[in-house]
Amino acid sequence: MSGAGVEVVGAEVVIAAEGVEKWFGSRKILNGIDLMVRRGEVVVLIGSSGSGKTTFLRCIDHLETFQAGRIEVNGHPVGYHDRRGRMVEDREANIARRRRDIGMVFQRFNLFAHMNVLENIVIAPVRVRGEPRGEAERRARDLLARVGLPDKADAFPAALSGGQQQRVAIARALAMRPAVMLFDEPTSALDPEMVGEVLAVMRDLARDGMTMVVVTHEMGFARQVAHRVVVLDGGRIVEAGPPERVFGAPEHPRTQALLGAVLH
Amino acid sequence: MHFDWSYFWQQLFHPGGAFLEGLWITILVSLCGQAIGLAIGLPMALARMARMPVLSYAARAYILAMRGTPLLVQIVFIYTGLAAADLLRFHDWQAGPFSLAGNVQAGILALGLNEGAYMAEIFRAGIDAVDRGQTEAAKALGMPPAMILRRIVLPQALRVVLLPIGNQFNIMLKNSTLVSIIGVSEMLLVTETINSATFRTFELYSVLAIYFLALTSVWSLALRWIERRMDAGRTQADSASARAGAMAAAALSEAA
Ligand SMILES: Nc1ncnc2c1ncn2[C@@H]1O[C@H](COP(=O)(O)OP(=O)(O)OP(=O)(O)O)[C@@H](O)[C@H]1O
Ligand SMILES: [Mg+2]
Repeated sequence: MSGAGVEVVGAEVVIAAEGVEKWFGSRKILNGIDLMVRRGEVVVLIGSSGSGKTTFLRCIDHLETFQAGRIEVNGHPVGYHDRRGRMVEDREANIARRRRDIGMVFQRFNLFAHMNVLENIVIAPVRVRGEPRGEAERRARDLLARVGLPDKADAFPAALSGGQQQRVAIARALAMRPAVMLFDEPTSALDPEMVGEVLAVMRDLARDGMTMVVVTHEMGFARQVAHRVVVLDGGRIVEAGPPERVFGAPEHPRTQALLGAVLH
Repeated sequence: MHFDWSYFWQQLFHPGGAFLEGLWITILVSLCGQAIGLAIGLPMALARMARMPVLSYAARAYILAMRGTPLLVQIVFIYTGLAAADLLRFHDWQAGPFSLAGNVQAGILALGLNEGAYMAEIFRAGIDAVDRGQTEAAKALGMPPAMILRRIVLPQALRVVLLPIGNQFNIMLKNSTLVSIIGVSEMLLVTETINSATFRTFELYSVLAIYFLALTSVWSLALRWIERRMDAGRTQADSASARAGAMAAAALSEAA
């Protein structure tokens, strides 16, 4: 079977998105997205530029609002609560609480520029989760070792290569012990020779059973690691399935066009 | 008319007690005014940037009024206008050896309120200058807004605003002469008082100018020192990125 070999059928649902619709002004960007992600599952989102991949990912973390449908993580809506059947936006403090369980890795890393690597990783567990500092630092060093940067704890982000920054960003997100990790084109701002090191870290994560939603153009990664590939076009899911099916026998003309464009 | 050098040197190096007191009042008024300005500036900037329209518009109106009218008018208005309207009177204040005359209080308040508007704009620019991605990453980690501001945005914004705030204090030192209009005996008014008895205008104002130049120069040096200290932590990072830039440039020229 594909993916990292983690059995996910029947595992509990981590992300449940239902009929998500999003407008930017008068432009409809998401056209009713349904997606269910189970514990340990790796879902790779692909689609042409502007198809809404980033927007959908940001909706999961409530970095973007949406106008219809609902998204639940671990059984709780993120950023909204039910008021007599209507979804009402939450207070910032409540949104923040929900986001703790969702890790996000950005295309541009976004490490805190005024803090060294260790502080970048430790700040959220200490300040948000209230972990004791010593314990958080010990775990931060473990995480740094895990992403292959055991000697970079004292470095500032600007002194690191893009690939190193992205691996620190992954460690920083993991430090919050999230239930799911979201990646938005984590390697597309990197020089080609650094893509591999980041993908390797992500592959390890998947093997360890982390639930992941990954937007990427790295089809090799999708083939090897994804349990499911989901194709977005014009703000809707046009095709979804195991990578060998989607890549081997794409059904939708958009998928065929997309893979043709990417593969050659 | 000739320039009386001996009188000039005398005033420059052996100023009378009144002048030294004026110097002290100039420094006091400037520092207190700046402190008030800083205290007002940050909350005002946050209000200006707030999503709540009431807050934002109130802050905008304040900034517009303070920056759009002469400081001299504001000083007179605050000292006499508020009292005339029976809103606020400034009483002399005494605590042990310290005393602060009513007009000095009014002068400090006026300078501070005015400075607050400029500080607000500087803080706003500083906060705006922090990359949006920093806030997004902090949000994604589950930080609430106040924590994001305090731990992520402000520390980075402070580096940006340090220099403009420092420059603004330079202006404050010079603007403090304006409180002479309400009879505060800072350096300018003391000089003018001595002048009215001696008519040694050129000599006295030369001395006054030199004292201000000394104040602003000392401050500029202090500012440079503070800046260097703040940069110290970043030097390593900066030289690394400079190295990367140089390497990229070298690679490009090789390719060409
Ligand atoms: N803040 C915004 N305001 C207005 N329109 C936006 C905004 N953000 C995104 N869009 C639009 O929404 C559409 C989807 O954008 P999105 O970034 O989700 O696409 P994407 O699939 O991630 O594309 P890419 O592969 O280029 O990253 C695009 O047409 C984009 O122009
Ligand atoms: Mg995108």
